Amino acid sequence: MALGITIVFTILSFVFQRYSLSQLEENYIFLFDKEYIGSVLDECGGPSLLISSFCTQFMKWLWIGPICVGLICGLIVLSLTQTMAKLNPQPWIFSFVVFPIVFLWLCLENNSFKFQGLVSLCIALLFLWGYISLPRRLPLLWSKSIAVLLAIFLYWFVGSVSILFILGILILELPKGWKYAAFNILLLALFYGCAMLSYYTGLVPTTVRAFSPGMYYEWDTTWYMLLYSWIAVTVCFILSCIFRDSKNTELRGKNLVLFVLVCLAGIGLGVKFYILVHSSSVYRTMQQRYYCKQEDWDAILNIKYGNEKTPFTSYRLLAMAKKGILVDNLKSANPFIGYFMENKTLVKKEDLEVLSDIFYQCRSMGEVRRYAFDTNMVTPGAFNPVETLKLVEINIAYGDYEVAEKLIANLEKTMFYADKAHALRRFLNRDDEVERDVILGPMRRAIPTENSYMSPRGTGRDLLYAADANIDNIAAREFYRTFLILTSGHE
Amino acid sequence: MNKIAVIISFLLIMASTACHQKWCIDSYVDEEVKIYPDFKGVTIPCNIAPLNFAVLHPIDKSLRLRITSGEDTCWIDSNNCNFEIPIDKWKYLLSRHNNDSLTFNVCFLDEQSCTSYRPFKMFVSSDSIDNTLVYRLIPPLYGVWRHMGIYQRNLEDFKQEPIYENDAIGGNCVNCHSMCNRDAQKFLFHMRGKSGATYICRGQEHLRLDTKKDSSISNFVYPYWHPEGDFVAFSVNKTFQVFHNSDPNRIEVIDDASDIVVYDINANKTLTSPLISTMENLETFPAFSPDGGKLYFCSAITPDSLPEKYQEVKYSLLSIDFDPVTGKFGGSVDTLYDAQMPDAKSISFPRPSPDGKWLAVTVSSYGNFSIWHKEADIWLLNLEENKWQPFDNVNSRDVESYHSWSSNSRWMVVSSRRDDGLYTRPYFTHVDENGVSSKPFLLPQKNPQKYYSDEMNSFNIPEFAASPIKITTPEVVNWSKSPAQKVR
Repeated sequence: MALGITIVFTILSFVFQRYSLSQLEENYIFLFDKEYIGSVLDECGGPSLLISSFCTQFMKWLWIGPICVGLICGLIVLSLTQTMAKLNPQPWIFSFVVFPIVFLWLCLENNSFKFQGLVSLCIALLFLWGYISLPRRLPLLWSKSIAVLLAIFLYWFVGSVSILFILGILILELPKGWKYAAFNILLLALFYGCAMLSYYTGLVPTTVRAFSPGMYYEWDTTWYMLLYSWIAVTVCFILSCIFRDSKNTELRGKNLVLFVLVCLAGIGLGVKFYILVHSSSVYRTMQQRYYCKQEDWDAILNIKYGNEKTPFTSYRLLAMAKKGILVDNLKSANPFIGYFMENKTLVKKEDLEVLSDIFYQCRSMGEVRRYAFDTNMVTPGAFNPVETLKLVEINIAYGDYEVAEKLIANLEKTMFYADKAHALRRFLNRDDEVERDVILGPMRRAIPTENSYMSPRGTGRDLLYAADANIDNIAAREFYRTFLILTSGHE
Repeated sequence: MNKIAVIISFLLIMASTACHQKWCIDSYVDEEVKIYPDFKGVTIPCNIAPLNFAVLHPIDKSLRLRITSGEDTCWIDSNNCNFEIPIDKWKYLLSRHNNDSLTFNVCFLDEQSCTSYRPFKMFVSSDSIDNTLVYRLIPPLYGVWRHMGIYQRNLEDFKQEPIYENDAIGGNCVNCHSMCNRDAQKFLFHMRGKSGATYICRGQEHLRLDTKKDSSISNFVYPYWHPEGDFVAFSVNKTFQVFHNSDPNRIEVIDDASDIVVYDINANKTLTSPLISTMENLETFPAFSPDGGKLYFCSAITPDSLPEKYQEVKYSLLSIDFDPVTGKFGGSVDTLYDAQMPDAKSISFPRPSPDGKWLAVTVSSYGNFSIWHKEADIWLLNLEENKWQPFDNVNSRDVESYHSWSSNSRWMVVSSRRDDGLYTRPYFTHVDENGVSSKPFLLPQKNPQKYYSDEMNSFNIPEFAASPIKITTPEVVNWSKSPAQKVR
């Protein structure tokens, strides 16, 4: 079953998640740096964060992300079924395992992509399987001492997600009598003791991270999906307990019906959430960003869209501009472009990313410097290597070599961006090299020689300057012409 | 058995002579050693943490550092060109050589010989420094942020502790921390957004204030405590940002309108005067004199069009009398610096020294948000002689902006962007009786090269505290749940 789940979810992830998984690698960067690793290990939940960050390094390769997801899903199923089998070996009960996995997978599909939660849950369940597999003849005091040690170790290893390990023991040992129940309640108290200590000593910054399994999650849709998944795990254990004494022969017919119903419900929920996730503008924006990085403008234009939020359509505008057809297609773009020209403060990462990408392609330098920096800010850890790489180029173009050098030094500690960043070192303090370079030269020429305050969203004057600075800057020219047409229309 | 005794004796002898190894320098090269941070020739307080540094020469030989003063000699081996001076050895040297120099010889080892670069010195001042530095760590922002916090750092070692980190309450903004005369018991800061309020702590008294009034421009902004701790002067500012396209200064933070009010903590009400809250002028950056009888502030004429005419906005330095007994302001305003003079500069952050002799300010070409102005420098006004003098040894070609005095008026911490032009770092300088500053030194770190290379935050509003602040993030979280008291 675990092998099947691994294969199925690897393929599913490959088909549906390649856009998101490649982004994951940008969001949770792993630095090959002794002090960084030391500082992460200092925190509760640090080891699991480190494992997931390490894995995300490899997600740049198309198959690695899906294989990681598939393997973790497989391991979760393996540990869950093996744990349940210790109490109730009836195969029908394993069908319930579908639920947590479906929810977990959908978590990744949603916009947060918090890979470390998946890793933590997997580790917590592996520990539970290990604990349940202890020899039955082990004295109570011994087994409980082991549980205490494992719980404390697990709190450090996976953070507050360790409560699932404790709840698992509590439920699975309920049939063993009041002594076990009493010890397990003490274990729960120990968990809260650990949590209080971690919170008040500043090892974890928030109550959510200290006391709930939402260690790595904020209160958004992803959190609720994870919550469903955790509830489903707990329900699996409860069902194992409730039906442990029933005989196969008595329930065979009913079991079969139940099994089919559970599978159908699981598939139904999966389809519902799949549609929910894939119809979201966030998902499509991600798809488009993926193609934008590949500079595959046709692929962006080929994505069907409905009435999604405008950041999605902004990539569409960019694709049209890059192909020189934005002005000709203004009628279709018109309903959306107003958003692009509004001057309101954007704080969401997806919005900032799209603006950073657009202005980078238009070489509108003031704006790209701002939005690449802002996108970096809202990325977890305030370090998004793709945006940082942009910032290196921008700072070199502006002649801010010391800032560029600092950013290069940070990128050189990553796995995938180190070479690209290192190659940019040769431009530091070399104005002549910068001006000759095919990428940096046009960027430097696009910086206005006469200073002015930036216009809202780079419209008008700034785009005209960027277009005039480089004759082949079709995107800036198209956006500028669009701006002129739309503003004259409004007036 | 005898062998073990010999080995133990040998190890004991080695341990007891750890600071006096019999190394010696065989030769010298007449070459200056390049180090980061540049600690050469600095004056340091007698209670500062070790000034560890890295050697910047590309060298594949082993490096060794000799520190000497009088008869005391200490040798330290490098770790990848970094010298981490053991804290006990450092404290020992500082305690024995007050008002004396330490000589540093950086040596490279060649098979059997030890060659030294040209030595450099640090002067150990007997003037101690307050042992805590409080600052906000925040990236040099444009429009958005995710993580920020107020931290305190023990200046006698390398320990940094959070006072409040914004992860605890939804990533909100915290700013403008301030203490009354560097007293850790009297501390305030603002929180914006969720749980937004002004948080004032006076010993056991914890106040959470809703400071927006219908009649005022905004919530309280830039604070300064009255020395007795019963009043806090605040500016209220209506602010917006604009971004430069191709100026070396990236951002302008502009006041559309601003006034000054004084908050009476005991009476929970604001006091003001038409002289410090005018429609036609922008008043900001209040600061009480050490005796509490005077309020310094900056003021500029409100231009008719912003941001177009922002480069014409120049802030003068003014003062007005204040009576803490009656809460009344004087009837006139004195001008200490008139920014309407031809070629005048703009003044921000007036900060009087605790001994009342000096007033330090930031001077820039225009505006008041000098942290984004590369030309911004620190100047001193001799309040006894009414004479201005630049802080020559401290000012650099890049930004020097926020500054704060130590309790004994002998040390100043200055925010500077001299390292890379973007990330603000705290530099410390000694100020003698004549207002002459020493070459500033960067806040010491265990491994400064790595620390400052990796640190992507600016040190914002560095302020001395005489002792550590006892507030922690969980306490602030609980505090934020208390009802906000409406300021009258």
